[in-house]
This record gives sequence, C-alpha cells and structure tokens, in this order.
Amino acid sequence: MKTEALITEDTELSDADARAVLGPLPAGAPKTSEAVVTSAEPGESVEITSGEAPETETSAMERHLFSGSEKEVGKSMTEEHVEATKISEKSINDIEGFLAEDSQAVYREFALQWFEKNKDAVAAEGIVIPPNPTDKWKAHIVLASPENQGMGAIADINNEEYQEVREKRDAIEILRAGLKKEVTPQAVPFLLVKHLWTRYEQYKKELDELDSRGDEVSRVLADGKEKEVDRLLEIMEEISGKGAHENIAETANIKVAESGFGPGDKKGWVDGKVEKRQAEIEEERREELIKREWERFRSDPKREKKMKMQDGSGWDITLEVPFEDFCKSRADERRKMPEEAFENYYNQESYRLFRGGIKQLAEGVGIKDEAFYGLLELAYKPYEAKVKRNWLFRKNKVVIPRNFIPSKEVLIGENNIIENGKVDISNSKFIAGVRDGHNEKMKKEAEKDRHVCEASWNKERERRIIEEKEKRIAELTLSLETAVINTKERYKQAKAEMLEEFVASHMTKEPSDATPEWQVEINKIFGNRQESGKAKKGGKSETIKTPGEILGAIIVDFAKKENHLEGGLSDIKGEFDEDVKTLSEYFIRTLGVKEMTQSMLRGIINDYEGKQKYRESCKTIDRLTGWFLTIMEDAPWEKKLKKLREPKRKSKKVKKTK
Amino acid sequence: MAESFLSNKNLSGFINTLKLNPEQNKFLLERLPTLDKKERVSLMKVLKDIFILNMEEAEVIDSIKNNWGKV
Repeated sequence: MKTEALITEDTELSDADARAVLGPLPAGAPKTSEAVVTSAEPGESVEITSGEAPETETSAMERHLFSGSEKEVGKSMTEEHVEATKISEKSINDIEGFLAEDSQAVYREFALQWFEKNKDAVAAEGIVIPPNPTDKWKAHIVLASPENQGMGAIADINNEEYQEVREKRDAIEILRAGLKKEVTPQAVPFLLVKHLWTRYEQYKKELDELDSRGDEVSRVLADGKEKEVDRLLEIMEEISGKGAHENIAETANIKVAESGFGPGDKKGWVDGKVEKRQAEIEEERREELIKREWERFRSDPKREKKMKMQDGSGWDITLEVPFEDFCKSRADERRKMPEEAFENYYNQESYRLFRGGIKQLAEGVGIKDEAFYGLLELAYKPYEAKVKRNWLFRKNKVVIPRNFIPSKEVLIGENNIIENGKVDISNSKFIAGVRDGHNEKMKKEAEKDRHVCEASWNKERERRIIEEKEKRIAELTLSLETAVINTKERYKQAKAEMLEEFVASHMTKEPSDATPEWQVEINKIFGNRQESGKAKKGGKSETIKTPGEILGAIIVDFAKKENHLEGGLSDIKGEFDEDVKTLSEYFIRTLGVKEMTQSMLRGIINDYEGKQKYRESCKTIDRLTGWFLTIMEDAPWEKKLKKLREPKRKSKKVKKTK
Repeated sequence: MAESFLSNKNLSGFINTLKLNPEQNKFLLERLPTLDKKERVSLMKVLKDIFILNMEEAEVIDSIKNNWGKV
C-alpha cells in the first residue's frame, strides 16, 4: 500500500541518498593551481620560453563550476551543451598558435618598455649598447640574453608601471588556460572571438595593403595572408556558431540568397551582365565607327567641293561649319575662352553636327540603328545612300556608292544588286542581314566576357557570404551587450530544458490521482511543521542528520540572499581570525553542526587552503557558498571526532621468560 | 527529528529563489504538495542543478564583463 510504503521509508536521507541528490562536491581545496577565466591574478609571472599559463588561484566552487570533469553539476551545460559547443582540435591548435604569437608580442612590448626605463642597469651589467639598437636586440637583451639572467626583468612585469602590458598578458593567458581545459569555460568563446577579431581586422588591412602593391612578391605574400584571414574567419565562425547552436554558413547563405545571390540566381545575373556588356561594346564600337567616318571626312581633300556639290542636293544640313562662321555665331563663347579651348570646342561641335548629320541622312533613306552601324562596320557609307526612282517599274531604290567592297559573308545568299559601282540596298533581306550581323558580332564580343562575369558573380557572392558571416558573428558574439544577452539566453534555455525534462520524466502523475489518505500521509511528512534545520531560539540546536540535508539547508539559505549576507553571517568581515566566532555560531545554530566549535574551525582551516582562501571566498556570496559546501560535504568534524573516539591501542607487555 | 529539507516549505522557498519563468514556477508550486519522497528527491536534484547554473551564469557574465576590455 502506498501510504505504508511512504511511512516505512525513512524520511531522512542516507549519505548515499544525499550524494544522489546533490552530487559530489570537490573534495577539499585544490592543491594545484589551475587558471580559470574569473581568477587570473595579475601578479603572477610567466616564463616567456615556457608558453605556460600563469598559475592562478581558484576557489573550490570555481573549480567545481568550470571543471569539465565535474559532470554532475550543471549537467545540461556539461554534457549536451558542452558537447555541442566543443571547439575542434584543429581550431584549438591553430588558436593556440595565434595566442602564442600574441603572447610573444606582449612580452616584446614589455621588453621594449623595460629597456627604455633601465638602460643604465643594462649598461651597468657591462652590456655595450650599440648606437640605434633595434627592437629585436633590445628584446633579446631584456628577455633572453644570458648576461641578463640576474636582472629579473620578467619579474618586473608585476610592477605597477607595467600594469597595462601585464593586463594584456593576463588576458591572453586566461584564454590559453581556458582552451587547455577539457571543457571550455562558457565565457571563453566570447572573449576568444573578440580577441581573434582584432587580429582578423589587422590581417585584412595588411591584405588590402599587399593587394594594392601589385608586385609579384606582394602577390605571393597576399596569397598567404588571405589563407590566414580565411582561417581566422572559419575559426570564429565555428566558435560563435557552436555557442549559439547555429550554422553560421547556412545563415549567411540564406541571407545572401535573399539578396539575389543564391546559386539559382547566377545565370540570370550573368546574362544581365553580358547584355549590359554588349550594350557597352556596341556603344564603344559605334562611337569608334562614327569617329572613323569623321576622320575620313576631315582628311578628304575634296570635302569642300563635295560639300558644295552636295549642298542643296540631298544634304539638308551642313556637315562642317566653317570656322569663321562658327566664330561669328559663338562670339560670346569665344571672348570667354582661350584660343585653344575655343578650337577644341569648335571641333567638338563640328563632330557633333557630323555625327547627328550622317545618322539623319541615313535615316532619310530608311537606314537606321543596327543597319546603319552594320553598314559602317562593312565600310559602306550609309549617309551617302540615295533614293532613286525607277521610273520603269515606278519603284524607289536605295543605293549607296560602292567605295569599299562589302565583306563576302554579307553578300553570300543575298540577291544584292551591284550596279555601276552602286549597291542597291532596297532588298530588305540585305538590310536585315546587316542588322543581324552587327548584333551577332557585338553579342559574340560580349560573350567573350561571360566567364569574367561568372567569376565576378562568384566573387561577389563570396564577398557577400563573408560579409554576412562577419555580421552574424558580430551579432552573436562581438559586443559586450550581446555576449551577456546571449549567455543569459543560453542558460535560460538550459534551465528550461532541464525542468521540462524533469517534469516529463518525474511528474507523470496527475494531482487527482492522489487519494485523500495518501495526501494526508504526504502532508504529515512534508507539510509545514517547523523551520527547516534552524535552531530554536534559546533552545538546543538540532543537528541535521545527513550531509544531504545540510547542503540543502545551505543552498536554500544562500539562495534566499540576493547580494548580501543576512542573519548569522551578516557580521562577516572576510578575515578568518575576526570571523571565526561568527562562523562557528553559524555552523552550530543555523546548520546544526554542534561540533563546529571555534577550536574545531581553527583546527581544520588549513585543510581548506587556509585563511587566504577564506579571504578570497568572502569576496562573493557564490564563492562563500562554495567554501561552506566544500567543508560541509567533507564533514571534517566527523573525522576528527572519529579519530578522538578511536581506542588507543595498548602496547602489550611481553613477559620476559626466563 | 529535524524536518526534512524536502518539506513543502523548504522546497517552495527554494523554487521561489531560482527565478524560473512564471509558468514553470507556478506549475512546480502547485504540484509540490502532491509529490512523494522519490519525486521530491528528483526535484531537489534538478533545483540544485538550476541553482548551480544560476551561480555559474553569474560567474560567466562577471568573467565576460571583467575581461571584455582586456582581451
């Protein structure tokens, strides 16, 4: 029967139960130093040659929280989330390479600063300083010169005057330490991407500079730099994407496709470019053809005569305005302009008139656009075409002087009449052939650039993808505000999932399933009867029976406080000797550990990294919680008392036998 | 005998300090009085994990803020 089962089960948890509930906490204080994100101490020194992270202290709680091996705590973050956000081995290796370079650069910066401030000390060591020493020489003397061993330059980085460079060093070492952990601490990806981004920007600038030089050596260097830029982006994409559970490449592809650069958009885009290119080629070629006619016209010694002859007999505009007449008509401009400029102006105007004139003349006999330029291309002079009336058949014929032989291709298959040095172009097939031929030729010219357009499309798409990736990385990781918001979001999600999973697997019964009798029993055991674990005022303190209960009480007690301690711990000063009385009272009265006398506390403090560790722990409530939890989990008083209770072995007296 | 830390009062106090979303908070408080010991043990475990995650979250955010200008 359910009720019986409930009553017969002991309502106080055994040690095993408690461990199952709360999971093991790290035993004791850490003996080895292990750098974590939150605790890099600026005062630590690092050997430049070792490449090791500075040894820094960390609280037991921090170790507990950030250690990847402690999978019992923050389960969802250390198993599913952590697995999904794990940085690949290859990237870690590459990042370590980058960070090692950065670290060297920082030490170099320190060395140069140190050298400037300690020139006299260097000279005093008998080192001859050359005139204009290079930075490399200075760094060598300060950091690596055997003669410099006794100067203690590296230790000086802890001095106040090198704070800035030391902070840079520490920041890099924090990242290196984070990367070395089995599970990368949650803060590291954000800090890492920010750090790498600076290098990325720098590399991009260097790449632009190399590209702008254009020489062969720079081109080779640019190729190498481009690979580094690509790799950096790839690494940041990986870290940022994994952290946000997002495939940044996919996001970028979608965005780029939305902007009209999806894989399916290529043909349309390239066709458009080729068409545009065709129009450009046509424009260039047509201008060239007109200019060729103009030069021919201007270099014709008979042009004056020709103009006179033609004047009034088909030419309805003046192809070239006589300079004198032009000067008269543009008297105002001439006064304002220098002589040479005015002549240029005259030539431009003449050309403009010629250009418009020949087109107009050709249009007068029905030759225009592609046909006009096609004829020019074939070396005809369509502007000299004439309409002749065939009186016999009462039909108009368009003829142009056959000054140049048209190409065979145009004439083949066409019934063109060549008569008396004139070509009859009345035949529409001929005109259509000329028009289409011109079009085709321009199209072929433009098609030659198709692969250029395709390459241009590929490049543009790639540029847009990179831009979108950069944008997304920045959105997810690259500002303090977003880093904090995204961190909160990830934890919120992890906590919600944790609860959902719990509800789905453990809260399957409906409240209506409970019988009244069963509910009565539940209330008897878990109903509100008295303050949990608190000592009654003036009464004897009740020792909570199991570590599980004690830990639960501490967690609840601390969780109630926001940013300050209350009740029995409100007098905490942060110095063990001053706090020992308060602490002892808290253990005895609040936590019910009556054995934790001041004397007991003094006796065990060194097992918990001593007074210094206690001082550090008091800096935040979280750390202090960790400090308490560690001690409570260990229950050192039990060991002490057990030791005291152990009967002393009496040495047996051996009777001497004779 | 000391009252179990799995009591309604203890657990509901704990739930209220965890800043869960209002729906989840309400759901847990409503169901809490009907939970048996085994369920309470599981609940305590998940609440403890969430509590630890809250602490971890605060530490991570602190770490990001403290080191942001330095990296």
